[in-house]
Amino acid sequence: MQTTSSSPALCAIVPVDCVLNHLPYPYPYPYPYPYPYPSTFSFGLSTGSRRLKLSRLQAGFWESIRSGLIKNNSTQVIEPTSSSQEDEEPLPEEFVLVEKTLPDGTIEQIIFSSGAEVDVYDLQALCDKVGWPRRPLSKLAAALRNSYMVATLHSIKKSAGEELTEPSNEKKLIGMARATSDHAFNATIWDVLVDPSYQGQGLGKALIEKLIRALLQRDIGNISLFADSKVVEFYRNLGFEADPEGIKGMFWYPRF
Amino acid sequence: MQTSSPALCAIVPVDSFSNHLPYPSTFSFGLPTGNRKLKLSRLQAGFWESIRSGLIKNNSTQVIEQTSSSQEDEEPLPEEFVLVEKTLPDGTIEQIIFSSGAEVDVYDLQALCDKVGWPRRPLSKLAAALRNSYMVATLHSIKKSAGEELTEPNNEKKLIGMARATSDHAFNATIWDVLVDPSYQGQGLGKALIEKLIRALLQRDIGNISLFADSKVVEFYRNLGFEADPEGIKGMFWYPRF
Repeated sequence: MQTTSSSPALCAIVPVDCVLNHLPYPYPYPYPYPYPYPSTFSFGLSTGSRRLKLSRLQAGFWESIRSGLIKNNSTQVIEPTSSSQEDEEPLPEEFVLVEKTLPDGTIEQIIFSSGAEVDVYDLQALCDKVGWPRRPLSKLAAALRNSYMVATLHSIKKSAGEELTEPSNEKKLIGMARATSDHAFNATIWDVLVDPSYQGQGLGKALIEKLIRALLQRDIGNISLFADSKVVEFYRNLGFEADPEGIKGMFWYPRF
Repeated sequence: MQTSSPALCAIVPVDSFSNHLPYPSTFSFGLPTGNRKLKLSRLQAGFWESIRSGLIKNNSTQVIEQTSSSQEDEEPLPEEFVLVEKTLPDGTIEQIIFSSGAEVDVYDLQALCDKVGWPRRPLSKLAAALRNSYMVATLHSIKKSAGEELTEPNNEKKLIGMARATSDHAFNATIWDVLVDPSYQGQGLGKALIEKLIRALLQRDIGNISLFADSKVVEFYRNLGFEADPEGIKGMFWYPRF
């Protein structure tokens, strides 16, 4: 189901309640924990983060954000209680999220990157696929250039017998999310999208989780976004809370 | 009333700032009723569609502004100008200066944050936040004793208000850290600060201006043209600290 509402935070992603049910192929995992089939996904922010929520100081929302006391360190303190050893290490800028072998023998890798150059034409094509109205290319380029972080998902396919790094292999942009920030306290996530033919696999979830993790590693304590009503639940499942302490997101003369 | 809000702190919601002006002065904050007409006349398009399409540009804002009586709206907002000038009973002249391009002394800002009761933040992070904000709008007070020039260095220039915005320089901006010195509140200065900041952002073609408002000041921002949860869009935070 594609939601056609154009949300800055989420568009064209099917809210995924349980990632496990959407795995079509058994595939090995890049992370060091045992899970053959059915696989247990760990996108780096698992139950450890929920324990984190409970253990956080009972302070007023803005006070604790302003005080900057909650740093990346406290996040890492909790993470040893999770089973994922990977959480203690910095997130690499680019890595394989998923690898699978298709019925015809083709191998497909889904690559996450937080530092990749995004071709603005590729992005425009992806925005078309999810049904967003066209935006001027120059503005798209400026938005990418001036985002604090741009996270992408690319698909690389290689025919059986070839190397994945060969230029003839198909590398396709299939997902993106970006965040603006003041590089110190606050970040806001905009423009989250996943290619409709890749939806329903937990990729949007992974994209956001990795983006969040990268932001936390840079000590950005306040991560916000504006979610279309249809996808509020999706983000809630990722740890986002709407209107905490009655704080309201507001827009200046939104166009109705 | 002080609340720690990223968008608004330590500003008394001002219903009608004219009631708070001790001296008769003609204020023009640049965004009069023309903008309310603008709201009605905008295309009936879905919220995000019209933002994404980037169709609503600065031009359309200016088209409407011709219907307003303020000629100043058609000209670019100067980077720095006198917002208010008043003569105090003892003959001292005080000017409130708005600026969108001023350097902000991080120690001055820290002192102002203390005054409004915000918890301390590391100075290096404050400096980084200022440096990496798309726009930082400030209010300074300059006082000169009767008979002196305002530009003399021994005149008191004080930071009394600030608001800043992050942006992707193309589509979206989010306003953070709005504050006004408590002894200058209740005069419409917070309102002016936000109005001028908005205007400066619009002039740079940033069509989507957002913020997160503490519940106590939602009404304040509503009066400035902000709308909460348009079309059910919710502001959300990742694991807010409660």
